[in-house]
Amino acid sequence: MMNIILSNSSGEPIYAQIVSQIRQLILQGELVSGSPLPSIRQLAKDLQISVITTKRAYEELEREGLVNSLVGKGSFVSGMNQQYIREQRYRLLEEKMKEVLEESRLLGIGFAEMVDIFRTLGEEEQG
Amino acid sequence: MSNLVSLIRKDFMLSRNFLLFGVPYLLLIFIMNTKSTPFGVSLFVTFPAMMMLLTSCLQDIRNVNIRFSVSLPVHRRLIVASKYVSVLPFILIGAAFALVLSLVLQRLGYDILNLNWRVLGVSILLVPLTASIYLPLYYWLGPKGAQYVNTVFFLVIFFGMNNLGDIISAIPGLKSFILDNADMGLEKWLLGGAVYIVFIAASYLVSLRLFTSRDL
Amino acid sequence: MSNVVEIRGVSKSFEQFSLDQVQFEVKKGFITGLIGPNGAGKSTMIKIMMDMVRPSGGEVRIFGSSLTEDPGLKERIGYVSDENYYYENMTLRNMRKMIAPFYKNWDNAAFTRYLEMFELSEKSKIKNLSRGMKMKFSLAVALSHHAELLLMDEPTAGLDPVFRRELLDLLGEEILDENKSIVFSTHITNDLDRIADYIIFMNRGKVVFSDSKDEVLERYVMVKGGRELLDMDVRQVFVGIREGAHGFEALAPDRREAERVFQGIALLETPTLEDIMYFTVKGGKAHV
Repeated sequence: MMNIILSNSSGEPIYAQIVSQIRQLILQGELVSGSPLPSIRQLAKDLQISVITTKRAYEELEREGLVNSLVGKGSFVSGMNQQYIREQRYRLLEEKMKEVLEESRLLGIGFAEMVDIFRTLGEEEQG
Repeated sequence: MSNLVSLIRKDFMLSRNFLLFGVPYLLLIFIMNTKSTPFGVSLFVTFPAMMMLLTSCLQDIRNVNIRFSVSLPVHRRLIVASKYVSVLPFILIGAAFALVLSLVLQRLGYDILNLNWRVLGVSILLVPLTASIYLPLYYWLGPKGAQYVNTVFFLVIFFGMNNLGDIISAIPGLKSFILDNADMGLEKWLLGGAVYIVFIAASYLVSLRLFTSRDL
Repeated sequence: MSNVVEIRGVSKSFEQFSLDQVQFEVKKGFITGLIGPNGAGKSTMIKIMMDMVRPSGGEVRIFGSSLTEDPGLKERIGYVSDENYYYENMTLRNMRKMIAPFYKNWDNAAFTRYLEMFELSEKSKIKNLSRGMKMKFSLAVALSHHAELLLMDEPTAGLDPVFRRELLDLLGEEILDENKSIVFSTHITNDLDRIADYIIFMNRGKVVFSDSKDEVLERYVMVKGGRELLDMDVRQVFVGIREGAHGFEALAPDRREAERVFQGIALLETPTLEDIMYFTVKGGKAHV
């Protein structure tokens, strides 16, 4: 089962929304290596979006190495190793951290203060 | 070929309602028309055949119905040809009806229809001739004008067929030729036949030219 | 990638307007939207593709051939007209009987299925159908002979929003087959915002652009900001501006240029097709 929820008002292009959602499903392990993705045209129909948009999303996923397309057989989640997936997820984490850094800079929160907030949050979560 | 048949079938489907309403009406006129003439038969051959053509043509120009024919996977040439050829089955229907009616009436002891083969022949030949005058006008004037043409032709055919005897009497020699079985020699037959065919062919070519270049 | 339709330099004059050197192609396997305001020439172009209207100049190729020379190719086209051209006095059954013999691939089972889906009875007469129902019947006919090219003139006009969505589903289903192509003219562009692959935009008998929808939506940009930003030089950046008491909205044909000028001082948004159509048609004249 693969849920893709598209927003018309997010301002993010449709193809990018598809890429990020499928990427996330793969990195979270919900789509395992080798599992088939719906065909481009099937997905376009299901989402009521254009074939070109869907095709572009798949091409992007292929470029990222997350998806393999075999002529006549369709597209599959690529058989990359756990190490690679970890690296990808690590990169994702880094990106989120960068966002946090950016946000705190805008709010005028210093680095030390931010680490404090972070520690408090972590302790809260551990109970 | 099969497309031609399908087009004629279409025209028949469009005009068959006329048979339902028109034929009882014709019978009524005939019964009321006590002055039985040998030309009464034309009322049952020429009139229904032409009316069916007029009806199918009228349906084709109503609203934007002409686009229907043109949307079909057929040559425009074939659409025009089908109108000309469709008079043949319409004549057959009329002629069959006239024959059956005349036989039934004879059986019942009323020889009022007074079937005469030459009259039948003239009635039949009149159909393609009238159609050949009608169709180029129909194609020339387009949807709006064709409605007037239809009305005029309806009246002309209606009164013409009702008074065919008088009209034929007005043309010198024609009445005696038809009724007295006079022979007029092979040359005249051939000449007449040639003129007849050339006229229909010319009419077809004119219609074709008008319709194939038209924007619909 | 092959073209199912090729229009080269097509011209034609009418009393009201004229087509001027119209040029575009329709790619096989995709949905192409033909958009533009009323009177832009969309309907005429579809009729020209169907060989119902003959252009005075230029070339029209359907499946690589001319329909004038080979009208039999229309068997491979499912045409939906903007106006009902079926005989008002006929029942749907009789219409079907009239139409079916002309198509070798006529599929009665499919036709019955569509009628059921569209809740149409074969016993109804055409004249008793509503505008929407006539459109549905026309769609049923167009979809029932396994056409490779669907040519549809304003098919969503007269349809309620519920069925419009269903129609988009049907089109998506058709296009699952990559050998099928759909051309769809409309002035209601939201129908196309998502499903269309290519957009041909016509205005006053001319093609404004003919491109993939994603490219068009990425090339243009909507700029919204305060009126103090507008000066003569800035106005040059836009194809159309709408100015109000509280600011302006404008369409710029070059996103990068607009970003250079307005980044940080105005709001930049991806336009909808309607935005593009509205501002292009109105040009600089749009005021509130």
